[in-house]
Amino acid sequence: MESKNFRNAVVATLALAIGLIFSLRYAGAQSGESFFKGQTITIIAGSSPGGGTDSLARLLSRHFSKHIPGNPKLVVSNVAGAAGLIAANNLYNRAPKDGTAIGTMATGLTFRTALRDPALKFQLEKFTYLGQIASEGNFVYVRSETPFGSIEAIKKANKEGKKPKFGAQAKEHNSNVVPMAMEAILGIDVDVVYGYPGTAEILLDIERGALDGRAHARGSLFATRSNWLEKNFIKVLVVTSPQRDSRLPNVPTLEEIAPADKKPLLEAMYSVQGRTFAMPPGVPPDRTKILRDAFAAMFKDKEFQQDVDKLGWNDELIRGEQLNKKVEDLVHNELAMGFFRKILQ
Amino acid sequence: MLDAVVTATGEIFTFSRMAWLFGGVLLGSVIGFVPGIGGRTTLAILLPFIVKMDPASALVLIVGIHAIGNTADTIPAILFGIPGSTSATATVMDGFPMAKKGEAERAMGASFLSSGIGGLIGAFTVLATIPMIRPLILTFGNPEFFMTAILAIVMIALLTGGAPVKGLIVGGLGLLIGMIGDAPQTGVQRWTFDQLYLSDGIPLIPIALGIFAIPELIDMTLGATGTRIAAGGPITSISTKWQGVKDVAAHWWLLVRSSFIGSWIGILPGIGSSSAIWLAYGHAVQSGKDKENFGKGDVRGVIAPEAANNASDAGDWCLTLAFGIPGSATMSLIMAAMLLLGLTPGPKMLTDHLHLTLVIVWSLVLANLMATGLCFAFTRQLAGITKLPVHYLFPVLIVLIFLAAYQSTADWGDLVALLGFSVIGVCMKRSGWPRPPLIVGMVLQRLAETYFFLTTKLYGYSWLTRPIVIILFGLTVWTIVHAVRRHSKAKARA
Repeated sequence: MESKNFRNAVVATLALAIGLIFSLRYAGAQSGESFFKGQTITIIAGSSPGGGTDSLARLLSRHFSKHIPGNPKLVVSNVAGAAGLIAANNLYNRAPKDGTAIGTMATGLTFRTALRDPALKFQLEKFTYLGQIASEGNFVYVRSETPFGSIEAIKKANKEGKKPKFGAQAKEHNSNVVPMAMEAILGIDVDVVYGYPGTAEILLDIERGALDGRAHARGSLFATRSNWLEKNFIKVLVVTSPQRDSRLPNVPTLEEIAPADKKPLLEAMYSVQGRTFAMPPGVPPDRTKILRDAFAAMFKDKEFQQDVDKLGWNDELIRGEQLNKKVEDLVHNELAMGFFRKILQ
Repeated sequence: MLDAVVTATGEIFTFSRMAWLFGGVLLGSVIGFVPGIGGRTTLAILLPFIVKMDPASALVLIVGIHAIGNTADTIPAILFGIPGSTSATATVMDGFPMAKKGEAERAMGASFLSSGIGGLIGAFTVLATIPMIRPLILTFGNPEFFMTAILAIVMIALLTGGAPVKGLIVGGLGLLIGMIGDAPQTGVQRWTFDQLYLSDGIPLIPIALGIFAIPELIDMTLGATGTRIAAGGPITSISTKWQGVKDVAAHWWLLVRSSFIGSWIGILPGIGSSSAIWLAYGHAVQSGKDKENFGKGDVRGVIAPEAANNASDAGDWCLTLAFGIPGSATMSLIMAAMLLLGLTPGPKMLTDHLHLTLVIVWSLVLANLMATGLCFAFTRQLAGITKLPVHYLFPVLIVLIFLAAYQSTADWGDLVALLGFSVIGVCMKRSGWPRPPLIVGMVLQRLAETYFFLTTKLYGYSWLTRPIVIILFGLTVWTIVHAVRRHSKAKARA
């Protein structure tokens, strides 16, 4: 009797062990390609409906699913507030870390990191970056009738006590950061009037003559005011991207005209341009790879490219792995972080 | 221009486009009825489908959903004293007292017809203005926008309720509450107490529902107005919707003036319908012969803001299309949809895509007619709600209010704000302090601050000598003088 009981116990234990091994294998298979089937991925947009950030999130929601194995459902959740900070805090701390939560990353978060904003409840470099759709860069331009038609003209006017008036949105917006950076890099003086509600209001004031110019995202300028270029209403001074823009080949890059000792700061500027998606830290590596590959595949999708063109964005891709490295390098680059602190304080 | 008109007419009058338009109107009317949840939510949900449609059909559907919102949001405003959106706050002033007197059907009849005609006048005004809209907007700059905001706040503060000083104090309080959050120029956190929820300020919907909705519900359930909403009077022949139609006919000139006020104000960036309705209401009070009944159930207090509300919508569209400046959060979403449809709001909408702009104008006209007809057809049934015992209505309304408040930012703070402002709203109502200036002060605070900052930064002191600024300043002073005189006369009579 005892030997029979012992035999039964051994068989039961073996059966349990085999069952566990198979169930673990099944769970392991779940964490791969079969995981996303039947799932819903939430895209957290750090703004209310309407506007660039929301458009970005909805763009992803329309095109991403078909490139992910299992074609999960994608829904957009708007978490507005603090220029994307609330959304980023939620994504980092509260969102599930299993690959079912993606968030838009506002450019201003880099500046807040530099300023050591206590409201940040995350470490920027620890997000799992999915990728970046466009690294736009900005055109910096003035009205043609102003006496600020070139960098040399601005320097000359500065000596006479005159400064061009540029319009900008929030302090941490590129429309302010780019002119401030140009001041530091090129040694010019500009007067940036920030606090405009949006791009359209700035453009109106330029048209009224109340402002002399601005820094304007490349795609947005062509999307909204290409007629200004056709009529020579504005003069574009410089473009803040590594290469010249093929649509305005005569406009130099900031890199071409910056003094040699200031060129390391340009890398910092390039790093904060673009439309970025990220996931919380701790997403399993195989799911991260699946989503990053899907993101890259989506980028080559013709329909996706058409939508990007309609929004006036440039279509460049930075993969998530590269982006994680870039952000890590940037956050630990005291020269860059100090530069942002200097121009924003 | 003529070619564009012909093309647009051909595009809109097809079976499919008319079906889309009616479908949008129907959907928007259902959603617009729910307090705090408006066309913006509907559009956000439908956006993935809308952007796959052809541009003309998509625009027609968008206009249908959006256009009815300004008509349907007066239904809860009149029936329960709960504005369906901030655009209906002025209608509460006289619409709800009319419902309490048993005249809900009359109020709604007047409201729907005024909305419909106001929308038509607004659409045609915009159409006529298209050739000169750009020079007009370029003439109005930051100083003019600032003075318009000040005029709107002063007008509302002084002309609502019988005590001008109380109105000014409450308007000032609204401005202060509007300052909570990030300072627009410096990003400094103001009165946020380190709470991220307050970084963007307290959302408007929980405040509006707390200030208006909860005090009315409490009064209803505590029996202050009886066991039915319409306990203040019998339902007589004067209370039918056709009487509302006669009222509109009798006050047709007020309706036309209010529509023009709405159209022109709607064109101004950022000022929008929130100011237009109050400026029209204030104008009705100032220009009316016998003013004693305003705030107690005067039908003119329904006609003026409703006409201005729908008329301002057309102006808002014009601003969005011609300049890419959305006058409201819903317009921001519509702009996003347009971008994805391959249409960039701006000068091209008045040149290369003029026919699509005219499709929108046509859609506004037809959507207003459809919305008016649809709401008018069910006026009697809707007014019947005021005859129901309030203990049937209370649970439904309280759930809707809490849901609407929570969907602002989906944060517990929304409910805290709702409850906090409910206490304030109850105290204000019981003490006879006017509540609308609080909301309008809040709505216009950011605009007023932004425009003032930009004005002083760009113009120094020279902005005070600009002709339109001087005119607006004069109107503001006249409003103050008029209110003080009116108050003095009322005190002397008492």
